[in-house]
Amino acid sequence: MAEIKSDHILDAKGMACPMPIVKTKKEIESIEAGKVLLVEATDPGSKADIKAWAERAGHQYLGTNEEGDTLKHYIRKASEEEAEGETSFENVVNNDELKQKLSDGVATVIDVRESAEYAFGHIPGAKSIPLGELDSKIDELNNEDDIYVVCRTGNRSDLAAKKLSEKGYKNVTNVVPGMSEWDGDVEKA
Amino acid sequence: MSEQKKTNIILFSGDYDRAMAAYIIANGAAAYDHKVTIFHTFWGLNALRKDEKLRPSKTFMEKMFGKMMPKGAENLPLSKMQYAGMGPKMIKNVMKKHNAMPLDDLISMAQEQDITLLACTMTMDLLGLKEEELLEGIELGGVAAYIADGEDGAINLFI
Repeated sequence: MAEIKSDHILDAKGMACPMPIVKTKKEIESIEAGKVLLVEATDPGSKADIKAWAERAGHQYLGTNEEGDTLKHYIRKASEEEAEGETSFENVVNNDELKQKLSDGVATVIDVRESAEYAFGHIPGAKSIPLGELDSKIDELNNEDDIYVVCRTGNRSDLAAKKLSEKGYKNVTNVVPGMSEWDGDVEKA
Repeated sequence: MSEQKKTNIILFSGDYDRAMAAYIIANGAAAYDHKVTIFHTFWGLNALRKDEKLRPSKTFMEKMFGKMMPKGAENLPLSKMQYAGMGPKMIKNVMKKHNAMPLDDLISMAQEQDITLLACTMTMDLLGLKEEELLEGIELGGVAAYIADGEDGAINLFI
């Protein structure tokens, strides 16, 4: 698997229980909501620990990659705005409708989650453009395409869909809720 | 997030291994954003003693107790395989190899994480331990102080 992008890295290699969790908690307090923290640890118990801890603390556990003896845990810090889940972009489909469009082969799916979230599971064929990079990558999109914007809960994709339509993209649709409830095919990269 | 949960541990034992377990759980719970209190009573108080020669005024019995009981976390005996002092040496070697934190570091980490370390005043009196013999930042209290924290604890342990 290619290197997954993270915003912050915590080196917890060589630490034994409970230190990886204690350090992770401290580290995540210092980072911005929505950012991705990579925790590198060698304690084999850290996988279960980090996953359980992140879910309890309300953060998003993305996944773990093993490289030799090192476990690379990816966590995305919780963001309150997303939890509210209010969307205002008018053109909306649900997951099932998107599935139908995909089987008809007419949809271009843009995944605006962080690249680490994308790496641990996305809709096959979806293009990764994290919300923060949308401005710089907007030219990669084709105005003629039927664009479906997806994220985890429909919130970031709402912002992205608004931005795209402001920029003149005509056929833009937000997918709600998105990957948090996605039960169709998933591809990892 | 929901209301902060509480973890409360009574550390009765003065064994190194048991105290370690108590402090590992406490530190883990603090990372879970629990409000954590460790209530040290009887032999558990020895984990909080300073490893220094102090001469607070004491009665003869108190002095005897003071001499016989271990001074501080790193001088506690093991609950098993003590072997006249060889056991703790061996286990500390193994711990070093596995990067497990020694007890005194776990205690500092607990203080850093704002875990309340409570010393039972009644048993301090019985064992003749004075406040100045214990580490800095220790709160003194009795059973009521413990119950106040413990009554709505999500986790309550007696170690």
